[in-house]
Amino acid sequence: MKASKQFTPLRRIPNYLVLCLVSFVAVAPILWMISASLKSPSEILRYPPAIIPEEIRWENYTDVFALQPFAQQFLNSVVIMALVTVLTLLMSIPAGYALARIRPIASGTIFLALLSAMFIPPEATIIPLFQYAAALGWVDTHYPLVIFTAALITAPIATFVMRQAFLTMPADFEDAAAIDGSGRWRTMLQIYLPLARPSLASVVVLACWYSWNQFLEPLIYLRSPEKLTVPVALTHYEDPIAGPLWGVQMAATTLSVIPVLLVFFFAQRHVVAGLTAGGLKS
Amino acid sequence: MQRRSFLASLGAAALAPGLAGCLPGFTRDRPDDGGITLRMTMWSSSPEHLALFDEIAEEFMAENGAVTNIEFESLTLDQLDMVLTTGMTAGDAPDLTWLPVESSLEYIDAGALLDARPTLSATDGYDLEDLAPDLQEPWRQGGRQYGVPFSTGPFIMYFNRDLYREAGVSSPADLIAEDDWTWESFREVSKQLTDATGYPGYVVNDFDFQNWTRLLPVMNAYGASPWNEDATRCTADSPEMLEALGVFNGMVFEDGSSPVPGQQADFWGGQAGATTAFLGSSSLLEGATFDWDIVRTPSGPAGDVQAVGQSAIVALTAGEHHEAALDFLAYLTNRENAKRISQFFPPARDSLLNPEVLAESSGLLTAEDLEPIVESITERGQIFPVAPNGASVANALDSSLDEFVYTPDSDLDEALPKVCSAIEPVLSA
Amino acid sequence: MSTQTRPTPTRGRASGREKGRNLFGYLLLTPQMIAFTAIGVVAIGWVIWLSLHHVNVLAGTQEFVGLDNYARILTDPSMITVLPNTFFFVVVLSVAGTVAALLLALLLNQALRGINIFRTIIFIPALVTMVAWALVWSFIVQPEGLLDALLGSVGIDGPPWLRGGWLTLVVFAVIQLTKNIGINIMILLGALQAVPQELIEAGRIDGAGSPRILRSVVIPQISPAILMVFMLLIVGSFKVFEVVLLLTEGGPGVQSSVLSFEVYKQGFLLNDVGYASALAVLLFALILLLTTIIWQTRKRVIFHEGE
Repeated sequence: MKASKQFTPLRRIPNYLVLCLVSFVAVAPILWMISASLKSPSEILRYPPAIIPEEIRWENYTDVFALQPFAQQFLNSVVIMALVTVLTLLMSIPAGYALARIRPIASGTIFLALLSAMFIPPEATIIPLFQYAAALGWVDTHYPLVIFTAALITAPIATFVMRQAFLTMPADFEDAAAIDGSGRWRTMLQIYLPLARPSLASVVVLACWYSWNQFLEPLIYLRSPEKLTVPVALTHYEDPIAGPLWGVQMAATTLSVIPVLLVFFFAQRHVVAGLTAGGLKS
Repeated sequence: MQRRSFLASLGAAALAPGLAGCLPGFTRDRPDDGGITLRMTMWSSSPEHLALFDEIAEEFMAENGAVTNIEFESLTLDQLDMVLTTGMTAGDAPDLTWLPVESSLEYIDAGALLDARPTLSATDGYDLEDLAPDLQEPWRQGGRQYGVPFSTGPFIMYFNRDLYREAGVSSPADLIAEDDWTWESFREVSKQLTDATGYPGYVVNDFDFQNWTRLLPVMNAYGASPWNEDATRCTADSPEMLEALGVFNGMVFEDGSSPVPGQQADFWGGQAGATTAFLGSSSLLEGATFDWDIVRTPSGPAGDVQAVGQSAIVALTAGEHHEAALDFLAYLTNRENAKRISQFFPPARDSLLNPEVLAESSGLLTAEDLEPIVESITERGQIFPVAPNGASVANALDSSLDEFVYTPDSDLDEALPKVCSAIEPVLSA
Repeated sequence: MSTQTRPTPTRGRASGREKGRNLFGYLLLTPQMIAFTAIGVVAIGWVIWLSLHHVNVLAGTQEFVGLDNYARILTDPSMITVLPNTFFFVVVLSVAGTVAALLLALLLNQALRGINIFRTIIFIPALVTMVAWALVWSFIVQPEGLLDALLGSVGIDGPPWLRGGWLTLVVFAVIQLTKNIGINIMILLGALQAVPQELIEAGRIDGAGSPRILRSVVIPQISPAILMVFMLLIVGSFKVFEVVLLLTEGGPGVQSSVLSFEVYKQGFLLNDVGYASALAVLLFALILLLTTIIWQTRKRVIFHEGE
């Protein structure tokens, strides 16, 4: 829709004002983060704060890697994110397809059960899941972060999205495929799945986003510095005696944000398509 | 087409590292060469501290053939409880750990600590009698010894001589010379310093309004304690506490000479007049760009009572190798190693507790510097009060102080009874 | 079932096909269902079971205490603050979040010059992890921080943002809201762009003004997306955790705490696993109740507005 056609240039000014204000709220913290990452601790605390550091401290960035294996931690986050995404796709594509197109007996009940899983907050299950992980010998490993997250959170959401996607597709293909003599697997994988591509993108974006943001779970399950993920590692830039190392912490935060921004700018169309596509407009 | 390649590359990105299989996150293997691996947690990540403990560990392994590997895990003190308890749940608890005295009773009551006495008395040349008895009290119960203190140190006041000079105010050293070293007079000079320089006169180190033991210097000077001797009753609403917290609150909210909650001030970076901290913090002053000095903390109506913190090395019941853990505990705390450790942490052995020995092992501070510290430990010191359910009591106390006391318009007459009603149920539980 | 619409040549073949179909369906559902049952269902059962016990992790003991932990919730003075705080976030984040996202989506849907730049900029916070966002904000709202400096430059003395009361809750809500609003805007923007142009033209020919078209054409058309955003926000609003942990640890007292943080605090900081489990069950029950209510009313709302 283009409801804006009737706006005269003058009437656009308030719109621009609102947009500028919102953009400021969105960007100011990021700019401040970059600025603080180049300051000394005493300059960070100076009042009133300045946006351009008086004396640029690049050491903050080298300290990021000296104090913790930050590159390894970044890789950990990426690997966990990728595995969660793969596992999510492997579980949700067949499940969504079954619920939408095959509909075996009791699929309605199964769908409701999965739907309710979407709403279980991780805080509600963290205690039994920790004991579970402890019993399996999974504490201080990445298994719970991949398997528990995919099984309990991202895959149910993804199943919901995939079901919606497969539901909106015409049943004629199925009949045509049956006449063709294609098997059920072929029908699913070669006819329906390619049509669901926008929703697949949507699932990938959601799973990546969820896993990348996770904090409570790695905080509980992981111990060793070389196994931590980025969000937890960010909170560990602290000296046991002197307290938080603000500049270094902000440098690490900046380093954690920049690759994501780059990926976003290169894959912007896909991310946006993923968010706006499949399943959301049933 | 593009989307397919996008998805494909995502898939490839996902699988490649997984196939490589060399990621640390999916194993929990510890080196297994037939020998015992001991694990110990500690809340220091200082390279010098770690180097010393590693060195002692190497020597221990050279003598004791059964233990082939000793790992030290650094964390922060506020993570310690969680790491230990989750480790116990997971069957992955360390064999040994540093434990602060505040937690001693809770861990001993729960049976979480091993009795080290038999091992200590069986160790040749350990000299159990040399452990200063007064300083062992929190760790001894019914003839058992549940840990050996390796650090028994008072809070010391560090001050920035440059800032005092700049402000033209009597420094803590001047006040001591004038025999007027009380919290009242310290409050006064702090305010003068703040008014003159704009920097806070006093910062409580490692406090953040979440760590009540950091206020013990002022509480002790007024004879105040949050609970009575045997930790059965709350005494946080006593007149002594009212006075002590009145001084502190006054500095924060009336004089503006100490940071308000949430505000950060960095003494070690030269941005505050004075701070109270442990001896170990002196390492933060190595590259200091300002002139500093240390003195004992001020006295008050209750006299000159120094607040002494303590931490012990303990062996955990939940650990895997009890015997080896106790052997290592005995080795770490024997006279020779206790002396080496005393360069960082004040010892609890009679034979080491004199300024000359400490100065010799420290190298950083002189006997003259250390004189008041030793005196505080041996004569005027008072170890932190200990309560059962240490973690819950500390939480209740910290959060109620934060809510009712550390506010600009708090009326302590009304606030302190509220603090008591918050911690009373936890104390008696 | 969809098979009913299909011609069924003979009885025997049909039931055979039906059986195969069911089997195939279950085969596809198996990985998801096994994972969900083995982890989710067991976890819920386990947390309920734990909530009936008193657990001492240090001593390694566990004793059955019946409903004691639940009785304790009723008498715990901190719950008087924590539960309303939790509801505050649920209501504010879901309602304000949806309204703000919708307004911004409408604004960003206009053909203004440079609109793509604004779309990108407003999405940026969504790319930052919640932890990073909270850490940066902690500098902004600390005393003598960035916000105080901004206010100070126009002569206003900044209040203590994080010292409890409604102000701290509002600050948290703003931090949480700005972090994820980009995602919700994108979802709504996608829906807005899918509204058929003909419907709007038709409305205009009928003489309807912009507000009228918005109310009776656009909003009904995108109502499924609005519901989706609303549900996502409801679920997310129970998870205000990082901000609380990193900025105030729930303090002063429990004035800025929420149920999910209390579960963490009791279970992992204070080792009261039994009580923490009871709180977790309460959290779970509340969410289930709320989403059931919304799911039920959804049919009415969508029907009323949509068809």
